[in-house]
Amino acid sequence: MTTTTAPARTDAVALATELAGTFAERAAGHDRDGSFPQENIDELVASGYMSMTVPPEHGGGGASLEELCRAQQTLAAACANTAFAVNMHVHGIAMIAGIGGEAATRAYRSIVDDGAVIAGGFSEPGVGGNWWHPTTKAEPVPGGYLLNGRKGFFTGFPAADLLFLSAALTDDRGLPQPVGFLAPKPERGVRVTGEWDAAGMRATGSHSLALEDFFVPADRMVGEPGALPLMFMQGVHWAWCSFASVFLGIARGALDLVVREQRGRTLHVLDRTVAHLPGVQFRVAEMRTRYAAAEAHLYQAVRADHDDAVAADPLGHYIEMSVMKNSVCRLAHEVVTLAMQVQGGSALLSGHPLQRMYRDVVAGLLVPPNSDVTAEWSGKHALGVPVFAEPRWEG
Amino acid sequence: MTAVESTPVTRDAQWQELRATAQELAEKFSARSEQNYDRGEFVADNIRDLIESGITAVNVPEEMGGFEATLEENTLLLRIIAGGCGSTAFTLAIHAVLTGSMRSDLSAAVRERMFSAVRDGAFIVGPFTDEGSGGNWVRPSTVARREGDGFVLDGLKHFATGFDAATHLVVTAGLDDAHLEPPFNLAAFFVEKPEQGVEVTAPWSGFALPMTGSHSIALTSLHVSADDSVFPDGLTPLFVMARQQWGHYCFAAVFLGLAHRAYELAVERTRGRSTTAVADLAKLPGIQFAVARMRSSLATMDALLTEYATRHVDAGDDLPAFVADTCIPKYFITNEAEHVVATAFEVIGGSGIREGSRIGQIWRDVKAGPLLPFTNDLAREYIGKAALGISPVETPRWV
Repeated sequence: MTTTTAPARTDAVALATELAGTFAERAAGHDRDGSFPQENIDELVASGYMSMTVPPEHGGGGASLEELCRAQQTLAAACANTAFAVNMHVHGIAMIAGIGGEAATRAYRSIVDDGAVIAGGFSEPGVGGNWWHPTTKAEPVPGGYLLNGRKGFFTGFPAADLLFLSAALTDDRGLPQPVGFLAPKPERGVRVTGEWDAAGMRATGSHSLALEDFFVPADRMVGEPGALPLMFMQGVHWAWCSFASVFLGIARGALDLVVREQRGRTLHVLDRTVAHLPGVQFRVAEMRTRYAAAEAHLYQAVRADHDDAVAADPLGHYIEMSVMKNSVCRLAHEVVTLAMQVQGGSALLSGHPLQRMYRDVVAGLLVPPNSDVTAEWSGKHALGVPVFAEPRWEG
Repeated sequence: MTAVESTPVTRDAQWQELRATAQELAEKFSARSEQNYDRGEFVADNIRDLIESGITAVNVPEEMGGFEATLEENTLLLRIIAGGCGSTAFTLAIHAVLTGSMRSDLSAAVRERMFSAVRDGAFIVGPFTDEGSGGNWVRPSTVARREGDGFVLDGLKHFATGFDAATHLVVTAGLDDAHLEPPFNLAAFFVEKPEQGVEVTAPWSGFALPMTGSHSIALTSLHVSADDSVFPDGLTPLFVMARQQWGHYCFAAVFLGLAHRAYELAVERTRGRSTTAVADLAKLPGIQFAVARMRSSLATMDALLTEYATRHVDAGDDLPAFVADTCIPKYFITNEAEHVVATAFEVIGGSGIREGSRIGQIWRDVKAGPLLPFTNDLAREYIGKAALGISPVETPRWV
């Protein structure tokens, strides 16, 4: 548990803007040391930011998806690691709110009253991007379940008070039933097997974990057994849009930084700033254009009628959102790559923010939904080929 | 004939009907395109159908009994028509840009004359590219000399798209007034298509968009009235800049429509198709991934055009920055559309190379997108300079 919380604020974007300056100043240090930005998380909790998506009737801010994404984008432009570390929390609550139930109500209380922070874990070694096939086992025991398995990329774990994770029960026919749990971080039963040490997003605390007879009370189950994939698909816009907003924020930060620096740089061979060089202008134009395309794609997805889309075709909705996330993150990566070229060699220096952005934005290409799985599903869906049919391919 | 009656109550229904009509026409145009593309025959029948359907009149102002289509609605109609025939869509785009962008700030006389004519089935063409001007059509080589209470125009214009169907022209020229330095000497005149003084010097024969009738025309001692002047003397470049969104977004719409049709053709060509070696081509991962790439590109382009056609339409006070902003969807979409069409061509395979294939026609048509104003180089210059806080119209242009 972190610190006492302020009442939830309904202006999450303004709050993110207020906090961004301080977070930007700390970003280089945490990136260099690979340390977790706990003081940033404390400030987000204390300011009420972390309650933004808790429903208003439970004391939260009731932020819309657009507010959430704009706020996360703003934070990410300053410190992408902090934004990503709290992303499972801020969008996860909204997804859980869509499911409801005792686990959700309990979570709201913890967040609003006690400043609890959620970290999430759906990725597992050997599963790749196929999160709907968890290998973590949930075994029924009196009063709850024992969870055993491994989790990777458990982003935000150092700050977590509540763990939102997937596991699989086994039904009467011996088939796996994917299920979600939202459980307090235990004293025993969850062990860090690998401290996060990576080239990018170094300050996200995305540790690897072993779940070893981790007891979860029955009332901490989210939704019904077997319903996890459908539940996730119904709320997927919260997940994939917020993911995309973080990486779009990095691109925005890189664009603003590059523009600011070129407007102030001079060379001995020029009587004006390098902003007047056509090569710089053309690359900045590419950055600006690709940024605009990415931003438009994200916010069109944000403003879509999600309820109608889910009702009409839940898988189609999941695919549309997955296509968006991959397109936005690809364009964001291109924007930052161009930024490196505009800035030149100085961008490679360890003290320059661009090299951190460059390493961070790559993660957008790698986080779920996996780009190959998205392409497979998107292509099959468009071609009228059953997405889950076996064999997957013929020829 | 032909303007759609509009009331607030029925506007949505009218819009749905317009869309459905456009879809029906697109299918008809597609069939005609197969017959006429290689011959490069002008899409005269299609333009006639568009006039008959009321689609050419969608921009007539409400107070004149018109539908007063928004910019976004214009782009949506153009996307549909482009799915049937790129040449028709591009020819219509010129008319749509002129009628959509000129609803406001015109002299009252010109406005009344223009939209009464359009309501009654007029088709307006605006040849803006002059001999030697390249894409910089605010610097025309056509000259307008004052004579009496009017002007006499002389010059050579290229790419007079839709000329054969035109009932009216918007003609640009540079006033030879000593006190007006280029580009502020630019003037535009709205005239009925003249019987004399305009002559086709080179009929259109194009690798791309071959059915647009984009002839080269000579203006020889063409007399126009002072009342034909569309904008106040000396201010035409500013009025044009404040309307750049219409040109850029409508052009982008045509090429997005073409790209979308290419995608549909690739999917249609693949679904249910087998070869001696493969039972179902749609189950090949290479095909699936190519379709996914196109789908992703189309979704991004759709979002970008929708965003700009709805939220980037008011010029504001900084006109050069506004023009730069309007370049963004045109630049992105016309170039991305080429990638989509190339991918669709790959999916369709060797059969697409056959003479007269639809994908081959689209592949040729889509080549025109990046070449239209603002060209890629000019777009990059404007967007880049504006982003870097440099006025795109500042001179000298380079260090």
